[in-house]
Parts: sequence; structure tokens; C-alpha cells
Amino acid sequence: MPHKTFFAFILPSLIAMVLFIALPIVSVVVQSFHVEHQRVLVEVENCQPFGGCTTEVRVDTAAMAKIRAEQPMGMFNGLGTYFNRGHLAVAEVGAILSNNAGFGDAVSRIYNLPFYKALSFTLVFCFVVTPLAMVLGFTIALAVNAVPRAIKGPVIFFSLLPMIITPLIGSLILYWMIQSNGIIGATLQNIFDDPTLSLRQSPALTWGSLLFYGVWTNAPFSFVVFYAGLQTVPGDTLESAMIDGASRWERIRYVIIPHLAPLATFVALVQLMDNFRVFEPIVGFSAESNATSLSWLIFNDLSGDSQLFGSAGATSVITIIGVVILLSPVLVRTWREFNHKVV
Amino acid sequence: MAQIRLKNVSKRWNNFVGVDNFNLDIADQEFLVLLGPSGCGKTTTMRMIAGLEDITEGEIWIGDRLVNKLEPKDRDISMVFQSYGLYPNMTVYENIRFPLKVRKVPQDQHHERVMAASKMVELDDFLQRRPAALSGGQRQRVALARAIVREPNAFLMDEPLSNLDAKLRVSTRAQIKNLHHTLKRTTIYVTHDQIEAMTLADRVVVMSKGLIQQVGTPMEIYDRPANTFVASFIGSPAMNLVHGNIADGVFTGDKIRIEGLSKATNGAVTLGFRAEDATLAEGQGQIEAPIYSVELLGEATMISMRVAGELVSIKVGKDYRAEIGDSAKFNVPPAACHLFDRTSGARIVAD
Repeated sequence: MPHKTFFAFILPSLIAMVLFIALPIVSVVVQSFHVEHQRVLVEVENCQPFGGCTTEVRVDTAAMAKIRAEQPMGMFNGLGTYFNRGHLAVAEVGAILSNNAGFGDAVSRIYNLPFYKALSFTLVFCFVVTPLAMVLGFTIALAVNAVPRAIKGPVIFFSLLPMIITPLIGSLILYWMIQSNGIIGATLQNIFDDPTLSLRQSPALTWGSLLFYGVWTNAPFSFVVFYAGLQTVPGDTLESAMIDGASRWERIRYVIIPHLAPLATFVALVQLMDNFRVFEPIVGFSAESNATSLSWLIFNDLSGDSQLFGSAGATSVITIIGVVILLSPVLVRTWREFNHKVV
Repeated sequence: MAQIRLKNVSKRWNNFVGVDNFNLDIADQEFLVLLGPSGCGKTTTMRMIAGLEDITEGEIWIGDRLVNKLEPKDRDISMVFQSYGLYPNMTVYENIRFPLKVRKVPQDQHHERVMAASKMVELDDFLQRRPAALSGGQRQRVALARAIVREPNAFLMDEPLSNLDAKLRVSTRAQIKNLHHTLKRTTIYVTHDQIEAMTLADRVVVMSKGLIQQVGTPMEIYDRPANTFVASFIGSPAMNLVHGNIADGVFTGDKIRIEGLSKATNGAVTLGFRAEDATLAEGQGQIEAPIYSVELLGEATMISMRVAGELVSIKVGKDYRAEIGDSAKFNVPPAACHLFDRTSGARIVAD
């Protein structure tokens, strides 16, 4: 295809991508370089007929409105927001590193900085949930592929349920179940004979529940993709393997898994991206005291009275950079394979 | 040692009969070809022997073992597929080694056996390549090497040459014949190509609609077809079949009259003769009809003419010259004629 034709062909998509992807990202980046204006304070003398005059310090609404109208994005702050205590906390981390009581102390103090706390959970969620959900999804796909045709439909529907349910609702359901009067919570209390046992109280158990939820909600996607992939496994090769003497596990190991490897890369990419933006379960579980994520930080900045657009923008940009870093090994590999194939 | 015995083997899917009451004894070291048009049940029969298809009824014995309930891997057979069935993620070397690996053959034997198998099919230069980087013929040779590396008791081959071009087909066919001679293993070979069947087989089983039509050596099948189906399936061109009547040893039909046949049969029959058995006639001919087409084959010329409603092919010398529409006269020696029952199609045995 001539370049001109190709360009004309993808132009509509290109325009849409610039409008809906590139521009918003640029706007977020620009926003992250600004902070809210400092409040303009005025002293107002408040005199009353009886009791004399008092002076009060007030926010000068008129002046604020004027400044906001002149500079709607706020004050330029450069990379200041990125380095402040709420984000990368460069000064604080430096102080901790230069003055601490051993490695453990340094780690725990850095962990207590809001950004690093959120980043830790986000990364753990990514790297625990993604592989587990893929393994679970693949196992379900193999199982569904083996069940008789008659019950395949219902089994598929049941397996997809976690994906059909809205994430927030799904996490709320699980949250209610693990409450001390919920079915799982009460059962656990019964089993361990400990009426004070609560999954919500301990950070470790909260993390566990969130990770469990993550695997539960992510597995259907892997299942659907792998199940579709299983339908394309060449029958001749599978039968060759049967005759060559491969057991069921060896057929999976040597024929099915290599065949599905490109799909697995795709699933891993999509799920890593998804899981890096983990948000709903934290809200659903009201888990913010024990576990936060980067997306939750953004949500926290934007909700409530003080809408910290600059801070939210900075966290967003860091999240985007995080996604790029996460995906880079896979992207580099795919690129190399692509080049290798062309040659 | 592996004789393979099939006793009353049937395969049915609901009401559809794939293979019906199949009985056959295959001798040790025999090269047996299952031949028939697509859908005749030949591949199903082979897959039942391999264990890839369940048997609805009957018994399959390999050696002295009843294998009905055995997994394919426990039947001590290997198989070559039409579309090769190679492992795309492994090199040629790993592909050939795979059966040894999964069967836990001691590691120290692997290299020697893989090299021996690859030498037999002349793959030594390609051992480090992936199947994607091989031609069709090379891929099929990898599949052959993978089948022989384990030294099983029997080989099953499911149309192994069908995906190859004409030239490769001839050379690979010769290679398979030679392998069978060297290895001396029972081989069952499925094909719809009668030339492959004729060239390779010790014995041919001709199948149609799930039933065995005839079992015999290639020459028996060619010379004495058991019915009109076999007659019309074997040979290139197929045997000419002409409808007519026989009375007192004389076959008569439109534009044909042959004397000196068996006097045992009277009434409506189908007469068959091969294109190469007819000879040019001087004077009065037994067949006399206008020429329908003239095809030059190089080593011979093929004439066709309409006799008793059927298009009949006759092979004549390469120097024969005639135009379409010219009248031509031919004789068919009575000894080269086959008589078949008009309704059942079965061969009428002269006694």
C-alpha cells in the first residue's frame, strides 16, 4: 500500500486518538506542573454598635476570583508537586536514608509516606493478581474445554459472572461476605474459634482479601481469551502428541502452552495495565487505612472540598510512567520477535 | 511382531454408519493400503486402530493384545498425518526426539537414535531449523523420522503424500517404500490415490461407504475387480463399463458385439474391459463408433467414443491419427472382458 493511501486510511483513527488520548494526557501533564493559588487574605475590621471593633482575617473572595480568572490552572510550580511529600517525597526519603536505624526502619518509614504506601500495594496487586488470575483462567478454560457439550453453556456463564458484575458491586458483595456477620467472616470466626477475628482489622488479611478479589474478578478475562485460543490448537499436533506418548500434562506443556504463548503475552499486557489502576476494591472494601493505590490517591485528591487538580495530575502522570515501565519488557520482546520474523 | 486383527469392527455416530462390520487380518511386516474415495471410512478405520476414535462394536487386536480400551500411546504404534502434526515451537531435532523424551527412554540413547532416524530420511542438514522454515516434503520427512525413531511395531500413515506436489509425491513415495523394506514393520497406509495404492501395497483393501469392497494384491485388484465399484476406481483411466445383454456367449449392445464369452450367463449384464486391452480392428470390428475425442498422452493416444450410452476410452499407439467424428473399429479379446451383474454390480465368475 502506498504511504499516502495508508495515511488516508488511518487518518480518522489518528484524529480520534489525538483528540481523545493524546490531548487529555497533555492537559494532565500541564496541569501537574501547577498548584492551587495561595489564598489571598485580607484583614477586615468588623465594627459593631456595641462592643467596638475587631479585626478578622478573611479570604478575599473577590481577589481570588480575579486571580483564578487570570490564571485558571493555578500557580506554576514546575516539578515541585512531583517531589513534595504527597508524591515522590524526595526530601523525606533523603532524610530517612541518611538517618535511620537500620534497613527495616528505613523501609517502614518510607512505606508510611502516602505515595510509597500506595505504590507498594499497587505493585503487589499487579504482580500477584496478574499471574494467579492467568493461571486460574487457563485452568478454567482447560476444564470447560473438557466438559460435555450439554453443560458447557451454564459452566461458561458461571465462569464469566465475576466479569459481568460491576467491579464496585462485586467488591461490595465480597466485603459484606467477609464482615463478622457475613457468611465468610462468620465461618472463619467459627473455624478458628476466635470471635474477634476480622479480615478487615489486620492489614495482612485486608491485603489478602483484596488480592483474592482481584484474582476472582480478573480470571474470567484470561478464561475467555484462553478458551478461544484452545479452539485453535491444531488437532493433528495434539493427536501426534497422544500417539508419541505424551500424557495429558505433557500435551498441555509441549503443545497447548506454546500455542497459546502469544495470547498469554497479550493477556499479561492487558491485565498488568488493568491491575496497575486498581481502585474499586479499595473503595468497596473501605480498605484505605490498610491499602491504597495510585488510582485511589487521585480519587482522594479530587473528591471532597479541596480539589487538588495539580496533585492528582502529578499522580496520574506518575501512573502513566509506571504503566509504560511495566509494559516495556513485553513491548521490547514483541518488537524483537516481530523484527526477527521479518528477517 | 505385530499382526493386526480387526474383528467385526463398526463405527457409528447416531444413525450414521462410518465403518460397518470390518473384518481383516493384517500379517506381520505387511504393507496394507486402505483405498477408497473420501467418506468411505478408511481414515476412521485407521483412527480406530490408532485409538484416536472409539470403537462402537467389535475388537481390534495388535499382536496378542486386545487394544479396544488402550490409550493410543500404549498401543505401540506411530502415525504420520496428512498435515504433518509437527510441534511448531521445537526444532526438527527436538521434534524427532519428542517421543523418546516423553516415553522416558534413557537420555544417553536419544542422540544416537535421533541421528539414525534423521539419516534415514535425509534430514541431517535441517536439524536445527523450525518446521516453519521447511518445505512440505521436508516437513513430512520430519514426521516420518519422528514415527520411526521409536521403532514401534506398526506404522499408520494417513494420506501422508496428499499435501505434497506431484514431483515430491513420487520421491517421498519411493522413500516410504524403501523405509518399509529397511525397517520391516507392519504398515497401514490410507490413501484415495489408486496409484499410491498400486505402487506401495502388498495388499490393498478397497472401501466404499464403510464397507470392504475387495481385499487383494494390487494385481488381483487390477486384474479381477470384485465389482463395478472396484473396476471403476482402479486404473487410469478406469475400466470401461458397458451395459448390454449376453446370450449364448455373445454380448450385444448399441455399437458393440463381442463373441466367445462364457456361455454360463444369460441376460442383462455389464461388460468391462480396460482401455489398453482393446486393439485396432481390420475389417469388421467388435466395437464400431464415431470418435468422440482424441487425446495425445505422449507415449500413447487415448481415443474415446460413445458405446451403448457410455463414454468408452481406448488406448492406441502414439502414431494413430484420426479426427473427431471419424468412424473407428476395435476388437476386445474375450479373455480381457469382465462380466458384472447389472443390478448388484458383483463380478460374475465364469466356471
